[in-house]
Amino acid sequence: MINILLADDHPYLRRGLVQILLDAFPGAVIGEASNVPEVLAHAQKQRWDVVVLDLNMPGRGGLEALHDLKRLYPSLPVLVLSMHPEDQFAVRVLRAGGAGYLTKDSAPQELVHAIKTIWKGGKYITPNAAELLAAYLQQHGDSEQPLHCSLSDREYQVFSLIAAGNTITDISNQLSLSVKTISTYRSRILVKLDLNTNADLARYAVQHRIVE
Amino acid sequence: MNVSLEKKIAVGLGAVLVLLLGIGFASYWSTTDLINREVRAAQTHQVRETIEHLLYLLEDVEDKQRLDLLTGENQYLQSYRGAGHRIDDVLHNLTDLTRDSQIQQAHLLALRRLIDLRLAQLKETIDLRDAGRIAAHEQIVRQHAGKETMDTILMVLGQMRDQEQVLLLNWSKQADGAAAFTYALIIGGTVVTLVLAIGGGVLILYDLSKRRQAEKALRAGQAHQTLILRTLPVVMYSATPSGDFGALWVSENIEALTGFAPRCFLEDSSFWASRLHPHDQKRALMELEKLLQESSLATEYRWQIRSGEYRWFRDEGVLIRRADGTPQEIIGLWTDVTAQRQAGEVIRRQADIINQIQETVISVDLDGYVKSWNTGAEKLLGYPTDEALGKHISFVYPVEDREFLEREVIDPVKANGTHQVEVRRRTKSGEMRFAQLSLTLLRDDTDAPIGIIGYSMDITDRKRVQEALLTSRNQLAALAVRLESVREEERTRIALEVHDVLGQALTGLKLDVAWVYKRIAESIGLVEPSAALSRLASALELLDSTIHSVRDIATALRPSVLDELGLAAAVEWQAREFHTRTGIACETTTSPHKIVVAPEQSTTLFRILQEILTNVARHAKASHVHIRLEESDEQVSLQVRDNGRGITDVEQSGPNAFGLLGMRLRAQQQGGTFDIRGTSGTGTTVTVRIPLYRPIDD
Repeated sequence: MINILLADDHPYLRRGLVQILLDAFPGAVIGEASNVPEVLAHAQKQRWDVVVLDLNMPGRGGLEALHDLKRLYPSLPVLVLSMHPEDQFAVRVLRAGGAGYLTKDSAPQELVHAIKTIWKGGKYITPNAAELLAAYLQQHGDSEQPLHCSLSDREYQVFSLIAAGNTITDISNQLSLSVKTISTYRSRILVKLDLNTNADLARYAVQHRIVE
Repeated sequence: MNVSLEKKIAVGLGAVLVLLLGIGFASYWSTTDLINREVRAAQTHQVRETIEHLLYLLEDVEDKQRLDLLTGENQYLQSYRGAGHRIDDVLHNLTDLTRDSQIQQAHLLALRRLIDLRLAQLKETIDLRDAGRIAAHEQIVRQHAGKETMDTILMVLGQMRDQEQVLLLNWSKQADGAAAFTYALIIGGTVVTLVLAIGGGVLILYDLSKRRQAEKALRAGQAHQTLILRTLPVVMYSATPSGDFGALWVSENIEALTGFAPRCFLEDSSFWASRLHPHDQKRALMELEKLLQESSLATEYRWQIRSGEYRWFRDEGVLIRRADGTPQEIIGLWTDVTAQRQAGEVIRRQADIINQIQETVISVDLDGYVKSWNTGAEKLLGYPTDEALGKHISFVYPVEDREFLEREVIDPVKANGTHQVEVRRRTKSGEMRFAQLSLTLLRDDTDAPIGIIGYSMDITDRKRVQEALLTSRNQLAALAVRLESVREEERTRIALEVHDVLGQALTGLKLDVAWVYKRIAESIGLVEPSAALSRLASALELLDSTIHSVRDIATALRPSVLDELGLAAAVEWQAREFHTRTGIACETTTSPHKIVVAPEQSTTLFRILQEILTNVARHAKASHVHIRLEESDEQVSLQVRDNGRGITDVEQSGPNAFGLLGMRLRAQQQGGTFDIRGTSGTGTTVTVRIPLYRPIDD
C-alpha cells in the first residue's frame, strides 16, 4: 500500500489529482496539504512513500519546502509537480534533491508512471529535464561548491566574526561600518547560506571548519 | 608778558623823572635842613655871646656898685639904671634866642629872678649907705650874700653855656648826618638815573636796529612774494561776489597763463565771464552763485585764453564776509589744469567704461574687502556703491556659501593669478543670482599682489532654465521609472493571476476531462472510435495548448524563476531561452554562484538584460553573447558582451535610442550606472552596475 502526500494550494486541482491517484493506486493513503507548514506537519506525523509537491504555494514557496523536507528527511522522495516549464526549475529541483520534476500539463499517466518509478526508489527525469541537466553540467561542471563560497570577502569576514560570537555592534566598531550595514551583511549571509539564525550560522561555521 | 617798546620807554622815562624829582626834593629838603641847622648853630653862638655880654653887664654893674661904695659917689645909680635896661634887653634877646629850648627858658626864668635879686641887693646896699652908713660887718655880710647870689647866677649861666654847648654839638652832629645823607642821595640818585637813562638809550637803539632789520626782511619777503606770484602758475585773485564776478585784483602772473594783462580783468568786470566756454558758462556761474551759500568752491571749467584756445582751469575760492555777514569779496586760486585733465581723461574714460558695463565689475583687496563697485554691480546686486565699499565681499554671498567663497573663489585666484568659477550671490532684495565669475589677481609695480578684480556674467536666467530643465527631466525620469515599476507590478500581478488562477484551473479542468475520457474509453473499449471520445480528445488538446499559452503569457509577463530562484537562475534561464529562440550562442558566468540582491534590483537587472538581448537579436548581428553577472561587496554588475557589428554613436544618442534611455533610467533609479560601448566590427559591451547598499541605507 502506498502513502502519498499531495501538497497543492489549489483544492480543485487537488481533487483531480486525488482521483487520478486513487484510480491508479486503489486503496492508497493520500494526505493533502495546501501550504508549506501543513506539508511539514504531515511529514512529521507519518512516513510517506512519495510527496507530490507544487512549487507555487502561498507563503514560502515550494522550493523552500523542498529544501526543508530534504534537510529534515533526506530519504523522503519528493516529486515536484509544477506549472512552471522545466527549463526554469527542473535542474534546480533535481539539484536540491528532488526525485523528479513534472509539469502540470503532462499527461496524468505520466504522473502515475513517475510516482511508480520514485516509489521504487528511482528518480523520474523527463527527457527534457535530462537534456537541461546535461547542459547545466556541461556549463558548471559537477563540482558542487559549498554555499559559503558564494560569500564576498567582506561577507565572509562578517560571517566569521558572527560565528565567533561577536555582536553586530562589536563588528561595526571593529570594521568601522555602521550597525545597519553589518545587519544588511548578516541578512545577506543568512540568505546565501540558507540559514535562519545566528546559531545556525555558528553551526555551519563549525561544520565547515570556518571557525575552530 | 609782552609790553611794547614805546610803553617801556615811557615807563623808563617816568621812572627817571620820578627819580630826578625825588633827588631834587631830597636835596632841597636836605639843604634847607642844613641851612636851618647852620642858623641854629649860629644862634647858639649868639646865645653864648649874649650870655657873655650879660655876664659882662652884671660884672659891670657890680664893679660900679663897688666903686660907688668905695667912692661914695652915686655913679652906680646911673649905671644901675642903665644896666637894668640893658640886662632886660639882653634877657629878652636870650629868651627869643632860646625859645625852642625849654631847659634854657627855665634857666632864663631862674636867671631873671637871680639877676633881679642881685640888682635889688646892690641897690639895697647903696640905699643903706646913702641912708647912714652901715656897719662894716653888716656890709661884709651883705657882700657875702651878694657874692652867693652872684655865684648862683654864674652857675646858671655856666649851665646855660654848657647846655648851648651840648645843643651846638648835637646840631653839628645832625648837620653832619644830614649832609652825608644828602650827599649819598644825590650821588646814588644820579647814578641810578644815569644807569636808567643809559639802559633806556641802549634799549631804544637795540629796538631801532631790530626794526630796521625786520623792515629789511619784510621788504625782501615782499620782493620774494612778488617774484613767486609772478612766476607761479597759480593765479591769485579777488573778485566781487555778485553779478559777473568781476575781478577786483589779480596776480600779475595771469598774463603768463592767459596772455591777458591784469588790467583787462580789472577794467571790464564781465571779461572773465565772457570768455568761459559756452558749455561750461552756465555751470561755472551757478557754482559761483552756490559759493555765496557754501562759502567755498572748487570747480573746473574751460576758459578761452588770448590765443583763442580753450584751456581747462581749476577755480578754488572762498567767500569773505563782512562783520554783518554780507558777502564782501571772493578770493581764490586759478590754475591751468589742462594737462592734468588730459592725463586724467584717459583714466576717467577707462573707469567710465568699467562703470558702464552692465555686468558686475568688483575689486577687493587681498583680505576680501570691497575697493570698487561699478554701476553694473549696483544694478544687479542692488547695493549702491557707497554701501558696498569697505564691506567684506561675503556680504553678497549666502551664509552657507561663505566657505565656498574662500575655498573655491578667493584661494584659487591667489594661487593661480586667474580663476573662473560659477557662483551664486544674494541681491539686496534677497533674490539669488547666479554668475559666471572671471577673476584676476591685481598686482602693483613690484609685481606684489594687491587685490582681486572680478568680472561676472549673470547667468541666472540660463541657470533657471537649466534648473527647470533638470527638474523637469528628473521628474520625467522619475515618472518613467514610476510608470515602469507600476507596469512591472502590474505584470507581476497579472502573471501571478494568470499563472496561478487560470493555469491551475485549466490544469484541474484538464485532469477532469482526462479522467472522463479515460472512463468512457474504459467503458466502451477501444474497439471503435466514438464521436464523444474524439471530441473529448480534441478538448484535451485545446486545454493543453491553452495551458501552454497561459504559461507562456505568464512567463513573458514576469518569469516566476526570477521571484522563485533569484537573479542568477533567472539570468541563466533567460540565456537558455534566448539561445533557443534566436539560435545565438549565449554563455553565462555568475560569480559567486549564488547572488543575493534586493527584488527591485533583480527586476531592474533582469529587465535590462531582456532589453539588451532583444537589441542583440534585432540589431547586433552577433553569433555569440556572453553574460557576466558579478557581485562584490559594494555592487552587483551585469555585463553583456556580443560579437556583433558594434553600436554606433548615432545609434546611442539618436532619436530612436529610447530603449537605451529606458535602461539608463532604470539603472539610475537604483543608484546605478549604465554604460554602453560599441566597437565597429568587434561588438558591443553593455555594463550595468548597481550598488548593493544605497547611501540612504547608512
